[in-house]
Amino acid sequence: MINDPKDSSISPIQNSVQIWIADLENLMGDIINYRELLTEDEIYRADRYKFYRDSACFIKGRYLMRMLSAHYLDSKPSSIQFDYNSFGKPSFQNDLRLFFNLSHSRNMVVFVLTDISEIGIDIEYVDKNLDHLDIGKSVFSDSEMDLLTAVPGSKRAEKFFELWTRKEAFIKALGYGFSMPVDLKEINVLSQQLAFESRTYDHNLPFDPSWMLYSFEPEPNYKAAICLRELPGKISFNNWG
Amino acid sequence: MTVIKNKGISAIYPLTDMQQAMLYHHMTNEEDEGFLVTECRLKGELSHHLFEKAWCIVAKRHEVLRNTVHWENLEKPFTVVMAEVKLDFIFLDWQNQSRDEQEKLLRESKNEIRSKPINFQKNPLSKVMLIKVDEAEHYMLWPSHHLLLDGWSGQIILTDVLNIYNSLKQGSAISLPPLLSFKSYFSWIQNQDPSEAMHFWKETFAHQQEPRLFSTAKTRSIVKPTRVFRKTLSSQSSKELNKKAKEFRITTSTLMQGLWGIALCLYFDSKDVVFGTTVSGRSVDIKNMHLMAGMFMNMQPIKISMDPGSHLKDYFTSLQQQRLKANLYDYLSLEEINNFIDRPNGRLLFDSLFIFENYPEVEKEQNGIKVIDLKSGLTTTYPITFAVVPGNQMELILTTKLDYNESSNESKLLEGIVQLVEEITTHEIDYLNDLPIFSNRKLFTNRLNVSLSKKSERGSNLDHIPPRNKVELELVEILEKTAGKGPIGVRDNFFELGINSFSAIRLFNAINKKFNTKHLPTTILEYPTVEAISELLSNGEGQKTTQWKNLVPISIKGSKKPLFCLHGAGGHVFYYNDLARNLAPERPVYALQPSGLFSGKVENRSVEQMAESYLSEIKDVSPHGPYNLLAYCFSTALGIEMSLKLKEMSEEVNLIILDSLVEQHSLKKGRFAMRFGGFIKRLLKNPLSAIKIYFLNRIEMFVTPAWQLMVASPEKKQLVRVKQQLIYAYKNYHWPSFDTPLKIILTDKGNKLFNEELINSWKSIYQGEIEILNTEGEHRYLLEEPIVKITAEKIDQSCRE
Repeated sequence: MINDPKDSSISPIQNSVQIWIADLENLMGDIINYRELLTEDEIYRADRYKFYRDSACFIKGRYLMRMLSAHYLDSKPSSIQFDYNSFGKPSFQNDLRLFFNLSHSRNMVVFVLTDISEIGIDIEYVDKNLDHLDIGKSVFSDSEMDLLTAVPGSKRAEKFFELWTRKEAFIKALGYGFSMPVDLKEINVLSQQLAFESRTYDHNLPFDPSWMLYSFEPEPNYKAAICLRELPGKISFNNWG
Repeated sequence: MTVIKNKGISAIYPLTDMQQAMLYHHMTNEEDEGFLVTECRLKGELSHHLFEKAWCIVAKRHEVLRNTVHWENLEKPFTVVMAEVKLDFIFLDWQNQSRDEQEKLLRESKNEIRSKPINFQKNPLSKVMLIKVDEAEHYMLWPSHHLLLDGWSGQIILTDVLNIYNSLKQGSAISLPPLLSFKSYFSWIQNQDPSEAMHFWKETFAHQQEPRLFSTAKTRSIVKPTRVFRKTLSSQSSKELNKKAKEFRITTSTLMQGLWGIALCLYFDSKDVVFGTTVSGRSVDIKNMHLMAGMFMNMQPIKISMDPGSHLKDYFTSLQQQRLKANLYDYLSLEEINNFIDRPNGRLLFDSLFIFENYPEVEKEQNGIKVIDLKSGLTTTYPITFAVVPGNQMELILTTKLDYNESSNESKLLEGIVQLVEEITTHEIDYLNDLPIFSNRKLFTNRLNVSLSKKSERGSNLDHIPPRNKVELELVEILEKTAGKGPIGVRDNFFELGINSFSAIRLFNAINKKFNTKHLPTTILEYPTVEAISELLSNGEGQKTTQWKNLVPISIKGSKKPLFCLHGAGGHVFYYNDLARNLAPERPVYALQPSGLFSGKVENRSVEQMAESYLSEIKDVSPHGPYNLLAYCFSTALGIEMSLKLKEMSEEVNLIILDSLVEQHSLKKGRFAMRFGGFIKRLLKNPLSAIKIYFLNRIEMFVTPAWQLMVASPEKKQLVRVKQQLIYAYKNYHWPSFDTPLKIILTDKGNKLFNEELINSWKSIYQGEIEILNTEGEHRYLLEEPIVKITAEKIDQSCRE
C-alpha cells in the first residue's frame, strides 16, 4: 500500500550527502494511513491547516521524513523523536551525528541527510508569472540584482529561483525561519561559498560566511539548493516511488 | 379555549409554539417535511368492514382526528375540533395482481398521496387506505402531518384501532381508558406556575460557555445535502446495554444520551456540550395523558458536563437527575426555555439532536393480526441528528445535513458511539477515563475527526469571515493571489494557510506597493491575519476604515466587471453561492444583505435609504461603472432604485432581473393558503394573481431557514424582524418609472400567459426596450445545481464590461 525505499539503492552515509526527491502525487492511498506514523503533536499541527491540501502535504512530508530517517537510523519510523530549535527546525533527538532538512513546493518534496554538518535545503517551483525584478529588489543584494537584470527575460525566472533557493537554503542551514536576524540583501549567494555583500557590513553576527552552496534541478521547472559547511565529493540523488 | 356549540364545531384552540413552527414551514416550503405517510403491513385475516368501523370509533375517541387548521385572513392561526368527521376510508383488493405489480401499485399510491398537499382546512387526517394483497395480508397507508401528530401519536392511534377491531371481532365490549379533551390539557398548562421550571433551567445553564456547534453562523440557513449512516447493534450488545442501564438505575434512553454526550465531548474536545432532544410533552397531570394523540412533543436542551476523573456511575446518575427534572416540565416549549435561561437573541444553544424513539409499541400480535414494518418517521433539519431505535437489536441512525465546507468526518461520530457501546458493555469500568477511548485518545481523535483540534482551537477556523471593509478586501485579494488558494477569511492564521517565507516576501512586496508602506515580511509573525494587518495599515494611516454593513464579498478575484446580487425579502444572500461558483472565473461577485441580519439593530429604512447605503459600499470595491446589478424576487425595488441613483451620478448601470415580476403586490396574510392544487383554476379566472402565487410560493423557499422546521429558534425572531422591515419598506416603495438598461432572464413556465404577464408587469413602469433572455429550468431551481450552470451562463451574457 505504501511504498518503501529499495534497500539496495541506498548508499551508506560516510562523508556524503543523500538527497531524496519525491512527487507527493505518487504517495497514494488514504491520508489516514500516513497519519498513523505521526505523533500527536504532528497531527495537531497538520490539523491546524485550513486547506486540506496543505494539511496533506505536511502529513506526507512528515511521513517521508520518518520513513527515510528510520532507514538511516535503523529504527522504527514511528519511534523516531525530533527536537526543534526555537525557529522550528527539526533534528534527531538521539543521533547528533546526522543532519537533515526537508522542503517542498507544490507537489515536490526534497529531503536531505548528511553526516557532514548542519544542512539546509530549499525547493521552489519556477513561477514565471511574477515581477522577478521587483520582488528581487527586496531580497537580493546589488550584485545579485545586477546579474538578474543582465540575464535575458526568458531565463530570468530560472535565475531568480536559483538565487532565491540558495539564499533560503542558507537561512535554513542556520536554523532560522522567518525571523532572520540579517538583511537578506547583505548576503551574496553568487559563488560556491557564501559571501557578505559589502566589507563594511557588521560582521559581529551569530554566524560566519563559511557555508557552501550547491544548486540542482530535481525536476523540470523546479529549482533547488542545499547549503552546508563543506561540499562532499559525491552527492547521491534518489527518487522515491 | 372557547367552546362554541355551533355548526358541528366542538372546540377551538390556539396553535402551540411547535405547531406554529410546523405551520410556518408548511406555508413557506415547497418540500413540506412535516407531511408523512404512516404505513404498515398487517399479517393475518382481517375484515375490512370491521377495520373501517374501528377507525370510525377511533376518530370519535381522538379529537386530533377531527382537527382542522385555519390561518387565512386571521390574526392568529388556530385549530378547530369538529364534532364529527367522515372518514375517507378506501379499501382496495389487489390479490389478483402479482407481487411485482403490487409493489409497483403501492409505490404509485404513495407517490399519489405525497403529490397532493395536505388540506388542513378539511379533515386532514381522515384518509385511510387499506389494501388487500393476500388472503392474510394487508397494507395500510395513512397520510398525516406533524403539525397535528407527534411521533408518539401514530402508535397510540394504531394501537387503539387494533384494540377496537379485536373487540368488534370478538363481539365483546370496547373498553378503553377514557380520554379527556384538549381543553383539559390547555387549562392544566395555563394553571402551572412557571417559577420552578424557570429556576431549574436557569440553574442548569448558569455559567454556560459558548456552545459547540456543527454549523457556522453564516451557513445555517442553506439547504444542505442529507446523509444517513446506520448501525444495528447485535442482540447481545443491545441486551448488555439494557443490563448496564439497570445496573446504574437509569433508563436506556439516559444511558444512550450519556454516551452520545461523551462522543460529542471527544469530538469537540470539550468538557461541556449541549444537545437537543425530543420529549413527548405528556408529563401533564391529567388522566391518561400518555394515551392522547396530538402534537404535544417539545424540544429540550440537554447539558453534559464531563469530568473524565469522575465515576462512570455518577456521570450517568447526574444526567438521569437532570432528565427526570426536565421531564417534569416537558410541556414547555424550547422558546420558553430559551427565555428562562436568557439566551441572547439569535444565539443557538445547540444544533444537534438526540432522539430516542421510545414511542409506545403497538402490541405486535393481537387476535391473529400481526403488525410489521410500521414506518412513520420523524423529520429533522438539524445539522446532526442521532436517533436510537430501541429493540432486540438496537438501531443507531446518524443523519447529517452539513455543507461540504463544514463537514469533517461527522459520520465518524457513529463509529465513536459504537466503540463506546462496545467498551461500556464489555469492560468493567469505574471511572470515565478508564474507558479505553479516553486513554487511547489519539486513536479516537485520529479516526473521529480529521480537523478536531482545528475546531477546538481558538475558533479561528470555525468561522469563515469574508472581508468586511476595503482594506481587508484588498489584503485578501493579494493573499489569495500570492498563496494561490481561497477563499481566505480575515481571521485565518497565515501559518495555517501554509504561507512559507517566499510567499511572505511576495505578500509584503504586493502589500507595500498597494499601500505605499515599507513593512518587512517578518511583520506576519506579529500580525498573522488579514484582520491584524488591516488594523496595522489603518492605524499607520491614522484613519479608521468603516466596516461594511451590507456588502458581502462572495468571490473577489477577476478582471471582469463585478456582479452585485441583491437580497430578497428574507434578507439572506447565501443562495447566491452556487451562482458565484458557476459564473465566469474572472467575474467577482458581491452580495448585498440588509443590516442587522445576524445581530445588532434592525434599521427601519426605506428602499431609497437602503439603495443609498448599498451604493456607497459598492463604490468602495468598484469606483466606476458599468455596474451589473442582479435582482431576484423582492429585490426588484432595490434594483430599480439603485439604477436610478446611479444614473443621477452619471454612472452606467445594467439591471438584470432573474425571472421575477416587477412587484409582488399581495404581501398579505393568507396568501400562503393558495397552493399549487388550485393553481390552474385560479389562472383561468385571474392570471395575474395566479402568477403571483407561482412566484411567491417559491421565493419563500429561499428565505425560510430550513432549521425552523422542528423548532421555533430564537434566531427566527431576528430574522422575522429583518423580514418584516424589508417587506414594510417594499410595500411603501413608490415604484417610479425608469429607463436605464434592463434585461430579464425568463424561464419557460409551460404557459405563455405567465411570461406575458411578467413582461407586462415591467412595462407598466419601464420606459425603454427590455432585453429578454430565455433560459432553461424551473424558476425555483434557477440558483441550484445543476440548473444554476445555465443560469450563470445567461447572467454572464447579460453583464456589461
